[in-house]
Amino acid sequence: MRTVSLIFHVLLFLVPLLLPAHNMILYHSIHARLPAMPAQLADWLTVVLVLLGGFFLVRRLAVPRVRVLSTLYDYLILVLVLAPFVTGLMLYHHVSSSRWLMIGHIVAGDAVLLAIPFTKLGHMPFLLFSRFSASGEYAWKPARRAWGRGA
Amino acid sequence: MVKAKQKPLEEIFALIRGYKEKRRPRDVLQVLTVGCGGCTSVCMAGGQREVLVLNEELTELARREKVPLQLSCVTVERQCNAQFLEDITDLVQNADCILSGACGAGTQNLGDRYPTKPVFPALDTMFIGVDVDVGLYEERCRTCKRCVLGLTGGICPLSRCSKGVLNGPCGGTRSDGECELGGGLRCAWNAIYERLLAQGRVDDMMEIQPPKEWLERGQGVLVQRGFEERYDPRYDKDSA
Amino acid sequence: MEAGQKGLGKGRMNGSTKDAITAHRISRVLTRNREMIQLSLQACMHCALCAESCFKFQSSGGDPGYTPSYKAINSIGKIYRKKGRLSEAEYREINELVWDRCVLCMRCYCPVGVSIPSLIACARSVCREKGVFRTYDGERNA
Repeated sequence: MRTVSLIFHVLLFLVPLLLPAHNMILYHSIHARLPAMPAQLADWLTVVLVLLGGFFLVRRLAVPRVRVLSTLYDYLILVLVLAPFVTGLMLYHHVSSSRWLMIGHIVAGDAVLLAIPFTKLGHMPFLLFSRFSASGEYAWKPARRAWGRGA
Repeated sequence: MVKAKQKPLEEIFALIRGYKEKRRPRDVLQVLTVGCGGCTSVCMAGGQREVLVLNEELTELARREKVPLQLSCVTVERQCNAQFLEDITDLVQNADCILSGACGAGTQNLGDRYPTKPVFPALDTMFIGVDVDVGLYEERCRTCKRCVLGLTGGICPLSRCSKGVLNGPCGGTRSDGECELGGGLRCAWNAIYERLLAQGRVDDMMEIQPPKEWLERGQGVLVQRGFEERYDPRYDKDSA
Repeated sequence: MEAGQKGLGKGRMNGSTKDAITAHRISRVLTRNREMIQLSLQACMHCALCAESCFKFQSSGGDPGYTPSYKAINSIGKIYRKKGRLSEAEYREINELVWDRCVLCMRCYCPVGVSIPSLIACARSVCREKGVFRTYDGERNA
């Protein structure tokens, strides 16, 4: 779970930032851009990301201790986070020529960013603060409570 | 766990009354009784129910003695952990003095947290012991800091031998296994011998234990294994 | 309450005064801890990572009802949302969650920084004001 989460979160930031398509748009508007990764690589990484997102969905449905806590809100948030990537993939592969796909992609991306301070996606910036101030956890190391071997 | 016993009601009342007469002769004294949800709840000395009853008894006694007291009550989960004492700041502010239903450790912690309010103990802390039955507790540990239970078959010679002898029986064991001091006390060393015999390790008894370190070392401090670096900046784990 | 109502008004007043005091005391606990409770409930990501750090969870063989966040959300979460106005049956359920399924060992770990023991202790404080707490003489006090 921890490994999956790490890769997922890294890709979540890396892919949209280093996507050639996004960088082209950025360059057109402000004449500056970030380094871009090869488009093919971005495509594969997005697929990986969506699959990992699927892992989270499956985990939420299949693992009893997570399922018991899950509400509609949790599922919706996951769908919301994955929506820009899924629509991005569809756009890249020209699944549909409709304008609405592009509009949907942009709206989804904006919706995720807007939702950050108002939903639990707020853990994105806030985790940094809370993780290192929660008493007993001022550390980089995985804060595993050592209950003893086999506990 | 820690086992404690409530002080006699008259003693508790005398403490409060003494304070009132010295410091607040004219006011109605506001007393906050703070119960503890930890050890003293388990041994039913200072838990929520016990402090409620204590308050009722004190109110009645105060009425009879014509001492104007106003008693209120709250119970926190543990008084030995400062986190739980933060919940009652407003109640303590409104009180003139505090009566604590915790063991000595909790009562002191309460006093440390609220140093401007007198804290009176409602209990006498007795020992670290086990629950033999509901309402019946026996001492098992004297916190000697050098546990020998591994060699005595799990029976502590300090807390269970009347004389606390450390290396074998004193010679006063009666033939029925009772201590020569009588009173139904069992000879701990006889029990140790029988236990070790049953486990096939009587030789363990033959290892001579040095005297315990009872020298006054002041307040005990314990840094748990794994937390050395956090609390001791000079700690060097490579040399430990 | 029934005995009070049979009386000639004095009993009834005592019953409702007692209820009023209880409600006031519960409100006090919730108000004092309002920010902590609100923030904790919002910040909880429902990730269930806290379960691994709870020894009651481990020793129950992975019973999801022992997940620390589950215990917190269904005790203080419920109490907070309904401002302490729950039925006796609901309080009995909460009683089981916070007294039987948790010993307040304070070892539960939350990656987001939610202090689960604080939430459980808060729930216990509310239960105490309702006269619901653990006793050790074999008599059930709920």
